[in-house]
Amino acid sequence: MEFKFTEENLQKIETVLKKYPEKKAAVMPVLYIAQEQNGYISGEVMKEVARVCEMPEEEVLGVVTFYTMYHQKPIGKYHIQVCTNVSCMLRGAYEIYDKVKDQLRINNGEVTADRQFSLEEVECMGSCGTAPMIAVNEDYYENLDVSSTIKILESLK
Amino acid sequence: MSSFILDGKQIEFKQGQTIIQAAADHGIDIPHFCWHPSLSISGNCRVCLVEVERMPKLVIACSTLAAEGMVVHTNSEKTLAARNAVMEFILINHPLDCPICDEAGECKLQDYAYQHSVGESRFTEEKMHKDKRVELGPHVMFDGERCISCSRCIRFCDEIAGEPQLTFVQRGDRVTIVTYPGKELDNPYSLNVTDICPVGALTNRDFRFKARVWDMSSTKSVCSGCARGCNTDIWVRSNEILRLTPRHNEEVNSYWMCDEGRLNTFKHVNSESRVSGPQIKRDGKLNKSNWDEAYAAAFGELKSYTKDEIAFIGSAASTCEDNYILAKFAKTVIGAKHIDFPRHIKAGDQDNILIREDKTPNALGAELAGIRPAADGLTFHAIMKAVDEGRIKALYVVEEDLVGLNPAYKETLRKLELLIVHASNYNETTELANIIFPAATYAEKNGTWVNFQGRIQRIRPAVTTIEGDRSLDNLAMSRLDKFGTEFDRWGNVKKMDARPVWKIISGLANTQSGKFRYSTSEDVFNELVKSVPDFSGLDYDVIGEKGAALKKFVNTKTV
Repeated sequence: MEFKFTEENLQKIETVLKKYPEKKAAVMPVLYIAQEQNGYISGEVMKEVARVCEMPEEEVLGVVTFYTMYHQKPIGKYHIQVCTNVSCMLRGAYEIYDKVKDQLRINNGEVTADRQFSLEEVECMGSCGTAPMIAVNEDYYENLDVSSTIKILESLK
Repeated sequence: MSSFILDGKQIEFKQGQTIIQAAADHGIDIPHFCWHPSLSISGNCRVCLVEVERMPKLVIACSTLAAEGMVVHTNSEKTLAARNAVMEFILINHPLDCPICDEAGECKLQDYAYQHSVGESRFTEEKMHKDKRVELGPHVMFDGERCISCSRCIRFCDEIAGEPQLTFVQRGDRVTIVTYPGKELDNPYSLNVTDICPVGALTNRDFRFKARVWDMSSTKSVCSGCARGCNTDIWVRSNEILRLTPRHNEEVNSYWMCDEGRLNTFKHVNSESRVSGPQIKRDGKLNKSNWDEAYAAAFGELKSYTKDEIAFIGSAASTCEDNYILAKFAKTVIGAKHIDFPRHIKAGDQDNILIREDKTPNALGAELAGIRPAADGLTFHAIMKAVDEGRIKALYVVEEDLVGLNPAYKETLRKLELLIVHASNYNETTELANIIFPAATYAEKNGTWVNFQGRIQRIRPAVTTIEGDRSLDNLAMSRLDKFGTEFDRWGNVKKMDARPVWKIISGLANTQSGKFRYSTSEDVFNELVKSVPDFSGLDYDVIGEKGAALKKFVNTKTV
């Protein structure tokens, strides 16, 4: 499965590359663009990113595995991240996390059979003042409790 | 020159030098894992933390530049506390498998744990578990649990081997080292990562589990694999070579050697195919003989040919001493003029790191020591042609497997009336020989080689022959050598009945003239120095452990 950036994305990458003194430095934004296009970062994607950023694919692999925001497996249409770090945990994050697992019938790191949802337990997403919180793809849902979480899930189904 | 104070001592430094490098240049070792003098600075292990007066916090000596008037403490209370803390931290996830770890005995982590650690851990949780046997490539095995993530191997591949085949993946305590999926750690220098790995995470698959480090002796030698002549250590247990490792010499090989040299230049020494004791062919069968009988037979046979019918083949794998004696014997005793040695050039097999096209360690030395045809003599290829045409009837071959070099020579050599061969191992050439003298290998004798830079370097015996004794001959001794008895398994060692070329030819010459009086290779070398001006000013002590440039090559630029 060969991976090629779309014309549009290639133009985006052009702009991104200009921001940095060397191409290698742009590896993270380029990976993001690639993930947006492909859904996840496969081996083919890493090879293409390495080529675009003129760096060894080994180093791209290092970056991809270091950051949790890059997915090496396909994720669901809605990727749900539940924070269980201190602030959220104190305000009932585990109840929310357990409920989400229950509702979706999947565990941490898994994807539902219909590929609609995937779940990830994460550390702090920087929203402690409005704990507990979850993120659905890029959107934050804050000041939650179990019932409001169920509502969010229902609205997505 | 600027200077700073290190533990009360004044240390001079060059501008731009780090504290650790300046200290190292003065023979002071500040504890370190990730820093390596030939690699870029990573600064991740933190064990080189030192206290610098008037700096608010401790700094790492590997990346802090030395500055005029700096006062550095490497053993202050604060430094020791920090070092203990770093050691405790690194040991959190390090397995306590030293008893089965190959690195034990030469492990930086183990050494520092004894020297700089309090010996107790407050970590009561379960250690991280990772893969313990990952074949990173054809030669290197990786144990993820032992790795302390110093990144030396990654930097070596990037910066020295020029093949960025390794990388960190994951983060925190899950960090581990991998190759890209579907790729391997496979480059001509891959095994150097096992030397620079400060722990037992990367091991040499050829050597793994062969021996405890303290049961081996190590002898300073030189690699015989090509004209570079990388400085090496030969590691021996029970008179058997188990591994070679590179020895630092900035003029020749820095800290490195290639995998080919490391793996494929010592196995013949231990091999079952060794020739032990002189062999004389009678009625088509080789019979073991004694030295005196073989000397007399060989000399008698040689004398029955005219000097035009005899040719001598020296070797670029033999020492200068061996080749000098061969040339002297051929010219002064036999009066021969057809003297040369074959070249082993593997065209294209060369890089700008270490590997050279010339696969012999002493081509320059052999020529300088006198292995070259007289003015009206034949060169190697002309000699072989003359053999083929029946003009040369007797051939004396020293440490060269001519048939191995060129299979066509098998038919050529069959045409000879007399073939005398010095060989360490039986091969296709010895099959055709009338007399075989068992040759001591480079690991069993003293001598010198001249590398392609014109640098003369010494080899030393690491393995004893039947005539030798480790203790009496001042060979390196391991614990087993010192304390083993004949009743121990390791005390009963296999020794070959073999001699260096210079000794054999002297014995041969002395059956008649008695003028080849040398008791050591050093005697031969001292005579060589007197008779060949290129070697003037040299002796074994001058050459020493790191070699010396021959005068006419002193200003030659070589990479």
